[in-house]
Amino acid sequence: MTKRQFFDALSLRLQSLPKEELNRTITYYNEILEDYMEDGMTEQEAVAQVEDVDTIAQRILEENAAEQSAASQVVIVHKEKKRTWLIVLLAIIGFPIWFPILMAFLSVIFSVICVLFSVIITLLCIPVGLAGGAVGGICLSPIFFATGNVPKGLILLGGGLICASLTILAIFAAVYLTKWTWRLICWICRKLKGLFTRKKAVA
Amino acid sequence: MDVQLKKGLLEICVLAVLEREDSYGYQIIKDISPYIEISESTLYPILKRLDASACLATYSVEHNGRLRKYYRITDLGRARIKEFLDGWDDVMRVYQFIAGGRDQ
Repeated sequence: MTKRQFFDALSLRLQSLPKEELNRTITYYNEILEDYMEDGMTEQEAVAQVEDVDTIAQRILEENAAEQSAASQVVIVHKEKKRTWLIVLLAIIGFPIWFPILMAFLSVIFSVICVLFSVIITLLCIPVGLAGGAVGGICLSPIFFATGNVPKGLILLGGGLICASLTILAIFAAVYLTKWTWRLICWICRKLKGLFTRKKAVA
Repeated sequence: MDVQLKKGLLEICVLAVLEREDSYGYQIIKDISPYIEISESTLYPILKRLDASACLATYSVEHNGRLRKYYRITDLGRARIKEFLDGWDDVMRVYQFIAGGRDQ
């Protein structure tokens, strides 16, 4: 293979490289081949001395691809930096707009949580009230029985017993509903926290 | 030899050659070959990288009616050699740890 053939074959395989890079490669190999020939080799021997065109081309293309990807990573980092700056700038300029909205949003969330807490308190008050009725009815009925007013005593006793049974049911219901309301509050708080903290597991 | 290790060693070898005197492609290969296997196609990307990282500078000299590209080491290149030599104690410590583990 002559030098001419060698460079034709090499250029063909390195078509995808930028012109400048291709010229640099050819200059490099041309110099090496000239040096081999100066050392006493014939043109053919010199070309045979260096690796075959395919190996050389493959190595150069691989190296170039590695460089390109390294360079593009640098570009991405720069872009991300720029984007951060843009966000900071927007946050400062947009302060009069986003701050009231944020405050309104937080107030709404806060009132929802307050309402849910009052629901819990109400739920707990129902069995307490019913228990009061039961205790009152059952304790006061003997007074009516003692004074001979049996029908009033019976109504009071019956009412007290009904209250007592409702109390038991209300306790179960209150515990159950309180649990769910509490879970709802926890869920809202978690979501709220998630809004303001950066997600860690971003692949 | 491990490909990555060889790549790193070759870079320092090229710098070591240039620290003695300015040189050109063919001569660098001839100087390094007795110590570590190197081909034209391995030297080329190494020179390119060292040039890109400013560890060497280039200039052309006319020779027998053609231009020959010479490479000259820079201060940064010298610093790289020093860094390599300074770091070698650590490598030897690891070597002894690995070799020592196999004796038992």
